[in-house]
Formats: sequence, structure tokens, C-alpha cells
Amino acid sequence: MTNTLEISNLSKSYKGFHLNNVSFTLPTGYIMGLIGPNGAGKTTIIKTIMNLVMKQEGSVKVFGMDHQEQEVAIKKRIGFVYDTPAFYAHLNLKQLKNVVAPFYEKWDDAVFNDLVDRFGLPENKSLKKFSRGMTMKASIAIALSHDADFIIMDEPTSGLDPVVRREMLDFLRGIMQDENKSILFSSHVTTDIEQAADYITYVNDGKVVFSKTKDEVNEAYALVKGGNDLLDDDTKKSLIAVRSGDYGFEGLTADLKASKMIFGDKAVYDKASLEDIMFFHNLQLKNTH
Amino acid sequence: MKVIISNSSPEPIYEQIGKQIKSQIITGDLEEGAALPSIRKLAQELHISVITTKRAYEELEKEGFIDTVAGKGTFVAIQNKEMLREKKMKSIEDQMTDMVSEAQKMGISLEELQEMLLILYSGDD
Amino acid sequence: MLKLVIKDFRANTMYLLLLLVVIAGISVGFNFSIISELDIETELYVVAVILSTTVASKVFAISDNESNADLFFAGLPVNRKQMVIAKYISSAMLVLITLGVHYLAILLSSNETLRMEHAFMYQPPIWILTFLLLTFSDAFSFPFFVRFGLAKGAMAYGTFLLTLMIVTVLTINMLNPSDLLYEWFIILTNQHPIALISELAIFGCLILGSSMIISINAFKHKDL
Repeated sequence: MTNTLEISNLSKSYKGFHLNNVSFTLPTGYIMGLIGPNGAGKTTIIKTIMNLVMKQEGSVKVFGMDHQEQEVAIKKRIGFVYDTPAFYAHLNLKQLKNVVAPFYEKWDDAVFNDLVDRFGLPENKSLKKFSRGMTMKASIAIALSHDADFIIMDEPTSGLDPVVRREMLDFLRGIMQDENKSILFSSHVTTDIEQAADYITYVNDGKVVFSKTKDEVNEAYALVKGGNDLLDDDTKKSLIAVRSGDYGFEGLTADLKASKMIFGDKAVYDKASLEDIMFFHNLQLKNTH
Repeated sequence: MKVIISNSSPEPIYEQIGKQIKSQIITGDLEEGAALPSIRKLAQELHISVITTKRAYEELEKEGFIDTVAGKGTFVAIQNKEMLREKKMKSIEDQMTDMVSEAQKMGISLEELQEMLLILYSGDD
Repeated sequence: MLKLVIKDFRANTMYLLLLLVVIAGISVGFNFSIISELDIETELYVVAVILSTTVASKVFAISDNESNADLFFAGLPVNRKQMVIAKYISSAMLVLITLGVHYLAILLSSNETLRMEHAFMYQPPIWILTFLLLTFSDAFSFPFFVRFGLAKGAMAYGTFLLTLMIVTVLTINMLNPSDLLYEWFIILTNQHPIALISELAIFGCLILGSSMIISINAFKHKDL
């Protein structure tokens, strides 16, 4: 299995923000969802891969090549969608296409026109009159018309209504029928990731909390619920974080089997959604601070 | 082929897929040599991860229900008739075990059960 | 890189046409004012030419800045070095085009008498010289814009120019420039205009080269 993206020990400091030793790998042929709260470092990671933000430490390899040394060769094969698309707003879509197309040897007008039709985008309307959803779709049409092998999208579904959002995710799945393609997309909306991703990388406070397949996450994580009598210092340790009230507690475990051994039949075990996982990890972070 | 998955079931999705395909092979709904959708196609159709369908197919292949031919696709395995029969017997036995335990819970005697079976088997209404 | 240069022209066609119409208007207007004896000073025209050309040299930078285009184009298959060099080239090309339009407009709208009376306005060498000087001064401003962005860059460049002027004035006041150097300059301007232009071109290339190196390095490490 080859890897489309390998990030190891990536670090970058801004004022008031620190990306700390980020490492993860995306094998070719899969979709990875990058999830985390706003300000967790998702955009910085993505921008670093694209060399839009300069890393301070660590290495980034795309298609097995160094992202700075082989920048142009790599970017020829990347389709990139920004969180806030920056175009020449005074142009219309057709003019923008004419500006961008010459940069790619593999640009295909037929694919572009097909996407524009599919998304129902007007070609002759000025881009500054586009709604958020239309801008995002235009950005995606521009990014996907040169047969890119690696599609990187920063919050592609933000600002889109649920129907368009679903269409977008279905569209990504369609792309993945070709096993040589890979997709990395970020979102702070957990359902996007749950619906579309094969791999989930969860980033919080500039660090990678985990990077696993969706199945691994689903199988390992669970909510443990029970009476407060089950909780003591030892049993608490087996949980990532606990929220307890007058009538019982609810906690997140990263190891369902181990928790079942500890709490036995007296507790109830529920599937943990990504939202649960993020909530309790955040709680843990607050507790340690 | 028919696959229906439930997200609320405690059973992992790959197992749900495996079970359903298996039972369709055993009942003959999926015939020997029939082509199965590719793992990517199936993942897209079911809105699940490629990794999940891949795992389901791998388990099925390990158990000898399907074969993957590189570059051609995945097919229902040409099975040893004896083995298939054995598997079918095993599946009937499983169902009978369920049936017996249900009957015992309800306090139905062996005689009553045999009578029901006789009627069902001979097809009398 | 050529693609990046072409993209500047392609993406700003409307602005460019507008600019060139205004420029042609200024030059034709100048001739017209002389013919109709409105007595507009030649100096004013020279200032107008320099101002309009300076604006032209910044059109692409302004347009890119308005739409955050650096960010977008850095995502395409180009590297930072190519982006900087392309911007130098496209801006210099636009300065050339602008002066070309000025020159053509003033030449075509003139008559025999004008060309006799104001001979120097209609001679190519003076225009070439203007082009070189503008390109060099542009070279000074570029690194500031790359490093600090458009608004802050303009301020930083302004401060730089002011400091440079003060230093120059102080230096001239304190030390009398060598007579030899002055004489050499007079001889060159009077007797060897082509030699002067070549000297300036060589000097300019040095400035351009170092300006580019500074800009490329600044842009290479910039977080977009």
C-alpha cells in the first residue's frame, strides 16, 4: 500500500497558537476527514501541506516526494479547495477558468463543463455575486477538472445547506471509485466526517489526538453509563473523561473491551458518536489545564 | 444481491454485510460464479467506508464464499457441493437451535413441535 | 512562469483597457492644450506621465491584493520564486506598454510645428530613459510590497524614500561631489546619450537583480 500523504513531526508556532509534532498518514485510495474544533489547527496543517504556510519543523511528503523540493510536480497532481475561496471577484466563472486552465497540462474542459452543469452554476455571472454555496461549488469545479490524484479541501461543506452538503459528499464518494485517488478534507461538522471518511484524524489544540480508520474509532470508543457507585479513582482512570450528575455518570472509553471488564454488567455501553468523542476529549483537555 | 445495513445495530457493519451475502449464497439467491459489486462500488452504494466493505469481503473470502480475481473482480466461489451442503445444514441447524430454545421458553413440548414441523414440511395448510 | 505573466494580463483586461484609454487621453490632451495655447506647463505633463505609469506598474499588485490572489495562485503548480519573477516581468511589461501608448498618442496627435518646438518630447531616447528610470524605482518598491503587503508596504516604501532623500541631500551638502564625476556625467549626456543609457541599464540591472533576490526571499518565507 502506497501513501499519498505522510506527515511527520510537523511543528509551527504563531502568536498564541502552536502546532505541535503533528504526524499522520493517508494511504492512497482513501478519504481522510480532518476534524477538530475551530482553531484546533486544521487549516494550518492543510496550508502547510500546500506550502502556503511555512513549516518550522518536521517533514511532509506527498506522493512520496518532499512538499517543498518537488513543489510544482506535486501541485500539478493536487486539486485544492480553500476554506474561503480567493478568486479575482471581478471575473465570471468562464473567465476564471480561462485564467486557471493553462496552469494544468491535464486540464479537461469537458469535465469542467460537466461539473458546472451538475452544480447548476452560471458561467457568465460575476463571481462576486455568487452565494457562499455557489462559490464553494465553483471552487470545487476549478479544483477537480485536471484529473487530480490528491484532492485537499478545507471545510468544503461549511456554509452549505444540508441537501447540497449531502450531494457534495456523494460526489466525493463517486471520485473514490478510482482507487488511485485520495482525498483529505477538513470539517468541524462531525456528520460530514462520519458520512464520508475512511480515516479520521482528530486534531485538538494543535495536536493530533488520534488518526485511525473510521471502523477502528467506532469499535474502540464507547460511552459508558452507570450509577455513581461504580466510579472510584481507579475506574475513573480507565475513562477519558467523565461527566457525572445526581443520578449517574456518563464517560468515554477508548477501549470498550477493557471497560467491559472493569465495569461489567452494571454499566450500560452505548455507541459513541464523533461528537461524543470530541466532547469528552475537550473535557479532558479542560481538566488537565 | 440485496444488502441492508443498520447503523443503530450493535453488530459491526462489516459483519452485517458478511452475514447477508453469506445467507444469499447459501440459499442460492446468489449463484456460483455470480459477480459481486466491487468494494468501492458497494461502499458508495451503502454510504459506508471502503475499509468496511473491504473487510467484509476479506472475511467472506477467508471463509471460502467468494473469490477475488485480480483485475476482474469478485465472484461467488465455485463451491465444493459437499461443503456447501454442509454449510447449509449448519445454517439449518442454527435456525433449529433458535427455534428449539424459543419453544422451550414458551413451554412447547417436543411432540407439539414435531407435529408443527410435520405439517409445515408436508406443505399442508 | 509565462503562464503567470499571461494570467496578469488576462485577468485584468477591463482595467487595462480603461487605463490605456486614460493614458492616451492625457497625451492627446497635452498636445491639444499646446495647440490651443492653454499654456499648460510641460512639467505638468511629465508629472502626469510619471504618475500614470507608476499607477500602471502597480495595477497587477493592487488587483492581486484586492482578491487575495497570491493565496489562490500559490495553490496552483507554481513556486514562490516564479510568482515573484512573473510579477516583476508583467509589471515592467505594463510600464513599457503604458509609455508606448503615451508616446504613440503624443506623436500621432502632434503636428509639424509641435515636433519642431518641443523636439525633446517626441524623441524615443527620452522615453527609453523614462522607462528605465521608472523600472528601477519600481524595483526599489517591490520588496516592500512583497514583505509588508500593499498598504503597509506603501508606507514602508514612503519612509524609505524619504530617508533616502534626506540622506542624499545631507551628503551633497556635507561633501561636494567630485568635479570629475560631474564632468563625466555632462560629457556623457551631451556627447554619448547611448552610452548613458547603457550605463544606466547596467546599473539598473544590478538594482533589479538585488531587488528580485530580496523579494523572492521575503516571499518564500511568507505565510499566506
